[in-house]
Amino acid sequence: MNDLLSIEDLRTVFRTPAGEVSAVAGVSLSVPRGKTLGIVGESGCGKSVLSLSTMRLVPPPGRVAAGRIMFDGQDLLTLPDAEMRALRGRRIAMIFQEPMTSLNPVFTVGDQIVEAMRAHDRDASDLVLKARAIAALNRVRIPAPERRFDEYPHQMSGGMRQRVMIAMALSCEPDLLIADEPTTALDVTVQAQILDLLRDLQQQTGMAIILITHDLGVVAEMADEVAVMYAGRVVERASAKAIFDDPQHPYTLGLLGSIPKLDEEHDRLLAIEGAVPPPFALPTGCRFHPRCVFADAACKATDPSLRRIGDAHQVACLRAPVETIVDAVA
Amino acid sequence: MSTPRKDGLLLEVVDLAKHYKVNTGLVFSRTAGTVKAVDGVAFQLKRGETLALVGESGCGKSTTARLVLRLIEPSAGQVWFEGRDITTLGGSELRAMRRRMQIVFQDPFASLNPRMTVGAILEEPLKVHGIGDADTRAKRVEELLGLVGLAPYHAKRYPHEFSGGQRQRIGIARALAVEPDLVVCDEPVSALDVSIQAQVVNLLKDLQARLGLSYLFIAHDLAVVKHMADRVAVMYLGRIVEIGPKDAVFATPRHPYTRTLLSAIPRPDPHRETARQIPGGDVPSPMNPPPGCHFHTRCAFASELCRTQSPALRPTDASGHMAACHHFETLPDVVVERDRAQAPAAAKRLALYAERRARGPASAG
Ligand SMILES: Nc1ncnc2c1ncn2[C@@H]1O[C@H](COP(=O)(O)OP(=O)(O)O)[C@@H](O)[C@H]1O
Ligand SMILES: Nc1ncnc2c1ncn2[C@@H]1O[C@H](COP(=O)(O)OP(=O)(O)O)[C@@H](O)[C@H]1O
Ligand SMILES: [Mg+2]
Ligand SMILES: [Mg+2]
Repeated sequence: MNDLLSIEDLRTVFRTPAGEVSAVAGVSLSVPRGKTLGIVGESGCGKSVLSLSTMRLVPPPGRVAAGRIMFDGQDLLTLPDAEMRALRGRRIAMIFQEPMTSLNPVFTVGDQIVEAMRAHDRDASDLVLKARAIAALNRVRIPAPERRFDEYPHQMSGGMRQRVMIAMALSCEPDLLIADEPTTALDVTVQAQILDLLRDLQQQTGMAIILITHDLGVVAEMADEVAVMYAGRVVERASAKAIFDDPQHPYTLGLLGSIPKLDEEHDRLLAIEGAVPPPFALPTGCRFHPRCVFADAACKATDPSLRRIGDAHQVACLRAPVETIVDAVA
Repeated sequence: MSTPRKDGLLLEVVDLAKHYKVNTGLVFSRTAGTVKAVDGVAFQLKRGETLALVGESGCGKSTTARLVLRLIEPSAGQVWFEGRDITTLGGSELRAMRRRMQIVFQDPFASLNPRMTVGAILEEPLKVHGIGDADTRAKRVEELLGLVGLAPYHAKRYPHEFSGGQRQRIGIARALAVEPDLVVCDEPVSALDVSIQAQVVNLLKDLQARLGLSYLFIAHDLAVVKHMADRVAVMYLGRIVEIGPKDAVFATPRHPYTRTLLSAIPRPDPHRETARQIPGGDVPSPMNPPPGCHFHTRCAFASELCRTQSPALRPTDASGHMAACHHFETLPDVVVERDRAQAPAAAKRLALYAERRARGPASAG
């Protein structure tokens, strides 16, 4: 296998007043080297908890309860804390939706990048690190990086702050970048710039990317592989082309039907009725059945697991492909 | 309700401006400059029509919305609503006018009082405007809930018990309580997931068809706008740079900024090669906008004229399509790429999905 990361049956739980609930409920995924895996799903599906689990950064009262996270041949879940800390930042880095909350407002962005670099390179001199930080800012196409080095986060626009975060994340040339909704808070032209930047940097460095987003347009543009998540599970896995050309899960169909298209005139968008159930109020059987237009009695009773439906295409649905459904009563 | 005007015009905004003085310094505060949040905006809205205001954050959309509703006072200009300039109204006249224009906000979480039941939230505007007695108001609340796809028992619940999409439905019901003619929607779906966004967009369209509402629809997502609007106005740094019928603006965008916005949208088609021209850098600060055409610093076609003279909105044809660009006649034609036809398997399944949805009872998100 040439997968850089392979997550096997991961379960992440939170202790709540109502008992222990699984925010990630048995997820298996893999990310090939140098490729981009897009993870899509509505808010509350467990995308962020999954990515924090991969970094071993799940905040209490949450914890990874089961599974394996194989990264380049070693299981991150059994790694000693010190080794995991060394790996974080150096080999796996992460960026988030709101860069302001991950930057410290009282230090200049330059100092913060230098600090991040120093954590992995204790011997380098201040001058060397400063030069490297400016080069990093330059690489993420921040204009006048020497001047920006001395600015505070609040003096920058959202797009510039996200570039700083990317510069910081990539300063140690990680093998894997986890980007959790990196452009959701940004304007569309800034989003386009950031996506272009990530694509170029991937080409230069060969890093793999896990890109979490709820925007299927972003997925189409960036991802090689896609995992669709619903209520803590992966419900469909396929290449990006297959997700759009041969979508199998009714949830995937609903997501696709919800996108307003630029050059199609629809009277109504398809939408998906209802909302994602929280982990403490899951329905019986298939977690999607209460919102599914194809659900029948079997879907209420049986919780489907992922099954192979095509070459490198998996779906967790009893009724897929939906065109084969013959209803008893029409 | 007053008699509709013959030309069907509901709202006309003329030379509207809002300038804010910005102070710096904590001890010796001094005026550092002026933010021209809205700087000479003009548009018209017909009864039953949707005009979309689009543009990136900070371009003045929300300020325009607040000026139209007279929640803030303009620095200059007029807002004509059915032939009366509401910027000159006061007291009871203003109150009567307010009843006819309502607003739906972006953030359904922040805009609903967490300590009030949904029933009380929906009844409040009726009380404020002295409409009905307790009985008729309770009936109206029930009717409003039905109108937005919620159930009567929801009246007893509190906002935190609802999902984001449902809260936005409550926000819409509250806006509709007093039977307005104009609803200003300030990014009503921007904070919602696409699936939920689609429910709310569908609802807004249904309500417009049923109630004959006019919408001033503010958004930054051009694909949503394409779906909702009859006409579109594109704003950049406090000014409208292009306005016109939706089809014209989308098919033959005349302003380089509109073209930039359109090409920046990620398209849901993995077969498409991404090739676009996004100008580098950020939108300049509205405190110090570039002289001449505000967009010239990011425009590939800028000339000396653009650096010195501010372009006025000029008609591009007879359809009401206007652009504020010195050079729109000579810009290269845009090829607005069409999305590839859907693959057969996807098209077939989406059609089945649509058929099932049409069959099933409509329930609320
Ligand atoms: N600290 C926490 N305590 C309890 N539940 C949590 C916590 N963090 C996340 N969750 C729950 O886990 C689920 C998945 O959340 P998240 O991963 O943030 O979703 P997404 O990123 O897909 O929007 C949600 O239902 C959320 O309420
Ligand atoms: N009360 C205010 N004081 C000073 N500046 C303001 C005020 N309100 C808005 N602005 C500024 O006016 C500009 C337009 O803001 P806004 O209308 O909210 O934009 P949009 O809704 O398009 O994002 C922004 O630069 C904003 O910072
Ligand atoms: Mg998240
Ligand atoms: Mg706004």
